[in-house]
Amino acid sequence: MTHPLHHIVRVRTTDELRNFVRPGLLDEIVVNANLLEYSGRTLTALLQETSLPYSVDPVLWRLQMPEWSKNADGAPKRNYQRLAAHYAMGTGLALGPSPLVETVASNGQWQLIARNAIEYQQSRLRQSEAPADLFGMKHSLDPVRLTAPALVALTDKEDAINRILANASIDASGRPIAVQVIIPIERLMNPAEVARMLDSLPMDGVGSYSIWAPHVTEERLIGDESLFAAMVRVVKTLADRGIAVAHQHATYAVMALHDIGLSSITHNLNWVDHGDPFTPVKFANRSCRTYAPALRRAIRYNEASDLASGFDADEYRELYCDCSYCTGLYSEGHHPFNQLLDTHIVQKGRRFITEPTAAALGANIWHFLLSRRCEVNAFSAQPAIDVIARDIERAAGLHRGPDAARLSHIVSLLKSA
Amino acid sequence: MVDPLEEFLNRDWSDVWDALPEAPTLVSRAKTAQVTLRLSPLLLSRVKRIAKLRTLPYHALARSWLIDAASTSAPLEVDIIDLDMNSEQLNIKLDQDILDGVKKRAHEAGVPYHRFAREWLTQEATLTEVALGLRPIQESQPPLKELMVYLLHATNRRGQSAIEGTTRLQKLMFVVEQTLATKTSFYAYNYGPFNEGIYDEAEALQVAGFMQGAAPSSTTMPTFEEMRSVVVHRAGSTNGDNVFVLTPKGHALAEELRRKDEHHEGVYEVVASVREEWDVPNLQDLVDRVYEEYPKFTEKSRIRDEVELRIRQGRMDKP
Repeated sequence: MTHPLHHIVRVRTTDELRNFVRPGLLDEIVVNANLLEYSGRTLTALLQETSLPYSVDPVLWRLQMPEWSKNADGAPKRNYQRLAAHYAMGTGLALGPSPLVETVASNGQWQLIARNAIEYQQSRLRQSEAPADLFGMKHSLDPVRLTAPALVALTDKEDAINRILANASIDASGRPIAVQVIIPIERLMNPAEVARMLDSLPMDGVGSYSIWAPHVTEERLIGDESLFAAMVRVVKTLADRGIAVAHQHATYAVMALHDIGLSSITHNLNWVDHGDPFTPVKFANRSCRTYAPALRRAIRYNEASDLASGFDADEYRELYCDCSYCTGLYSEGHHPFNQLLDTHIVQKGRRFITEPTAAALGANIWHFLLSRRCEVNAFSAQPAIDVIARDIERAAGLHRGPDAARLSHIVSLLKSA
Repeated sequence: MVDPLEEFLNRDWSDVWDALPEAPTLVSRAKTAQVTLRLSPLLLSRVKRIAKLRTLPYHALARSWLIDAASTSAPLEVDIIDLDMNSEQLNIKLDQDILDGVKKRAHEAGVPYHRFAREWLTQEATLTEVALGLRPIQESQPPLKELMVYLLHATNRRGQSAIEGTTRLQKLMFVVEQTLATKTSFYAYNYGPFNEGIYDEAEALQVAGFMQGAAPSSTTMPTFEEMRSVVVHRAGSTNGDNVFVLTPKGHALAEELRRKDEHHEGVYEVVASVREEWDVPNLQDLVDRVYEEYPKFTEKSRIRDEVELRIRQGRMDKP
């Protein structure tokens, strides 16, 4: 076993950063640049308060297609428009209204965009920094890593652009940078395409590769042997270059790739796995699902209730979840489900629907973050197969045959990889 | 036969012309006239500030200055500038004689009388501010954060410094910015003027401990009690709209900022006067007034028709 898994949390709101993202529960924070454009002042104040290192994801790919940065009404989102203006500085281009590859005409313009994106990560927070006489100086705001902007690598054309962007970012930053490797599922399934794409990635000046396969949920990843094998191949090929490999949307099965060279994982605080698509997620009703550490996946409230509502404190800790939040609730005489599965009925138009309460949502965030931290620690300390073997045993103990089989399937996938 | 009227009109009157009496006015003039002046929001605030100190209605103060303009020969010394788009109306009733006097002065200065009147008011406001020892206020773009601290430090007529609800905070901040700033950071949105930066500034003030709110995140691993307190706070915060209140540290900051220099003190006085004038008990009244006075910012509003109907009904209901 090499280094422990590095644990990064992608914050989506200032509320998450303010209330949940705390030292000891993760190692690093990543903030999307669009959030900086929306809540720059608050983020600055919060990042000055925390002792956790942070970085900024430039999310240039959001501007790649006009539909990817629009709101529910089909209008361009203002924060992306502001971000586009930062990145376009000096190019004379308007980024966003039409596909990026059609807007940017020359290598020089791509290089300028990359330099702007690096400059943005280095200085954007400082622009929002309050004057010392107003707020007092806290620790300095320097990102722990700089990330090259990148496009979703739909074709060879984007591969070539990404290489230009990465090399220009390396020149601009003067230090090793993180290179995003954004692979659409169609290319991931094609070994020749994957090889071509990986060959196009620079090596000199690269501090880490950061993989993201949009739309690939955990179920999809483990449900398709060739997809899992392709992901393993990507991680292994990049790790063999002696450069750190990170995954931007880690799930349980992705964390198991630590053994074959994955060094860092990022996840957000949503326990319902949507596969991190690049098309905007439409707001739906709040989901009545909770993360079940015993099964390593999110399940519906009624399913959770059937599974563990009858457990006493010891059974619950042993068989379902031993996170410190659930343990704390038990120590106060409450079954954790009283809070985790708490719902109320709300009216939406003419319909009445059942939703989790605000308290349930908050409790589930703690429960999920703490559970994921336990998983990171487990995969850091032991071989993946041993970690999963213990989980199989627990699922079997709960008489969850299909879940035990699902976890066993991950083991066979790992073995065959 | 000679027509007597024809004969009367054709007669040579030149020798006696000067001795003839003035003909009566065919249509008698009204004794007073209403003049509508367009002033910058900042100038209007300055007039209001002086009027308040002199315990006069601000219309009466402006009228008295225009009477001075008509009756003295003091020169107009301020630069005549073009007015920007964010202007406000000031309607003043003047005696016709006074208006004639103002027009005469404007003619002498070679400018339209509206412009002359506006610049005269600017000059009088400046002179009076000096005489009263008031700090001058310059047109500027103060940071939203400072304006918010001032707004929450000042009180409304009911003596409240807290602001209840995000709509009220948005609208009051909008009026403050319109009054003081040369550029606006607000734009027309679904419910009138809007600036998402207001939420950002408010949260940043909370995080820094200047405004009441949930405790900022600590730098250590959370205990169970801390985690539970986050959950309990979130559960409570959904039951009502936000209340924005400065902490004692926030009030101290406001005092420190306003004492920084004369400019800051002047800005604070304007913000305080906006708070006093606009922060009325009924939120609908505040919204209606914003829609009425800043129609440009309501173009995309989903509730514009509803508000306009309410405004029309309100006018009809007035005795």
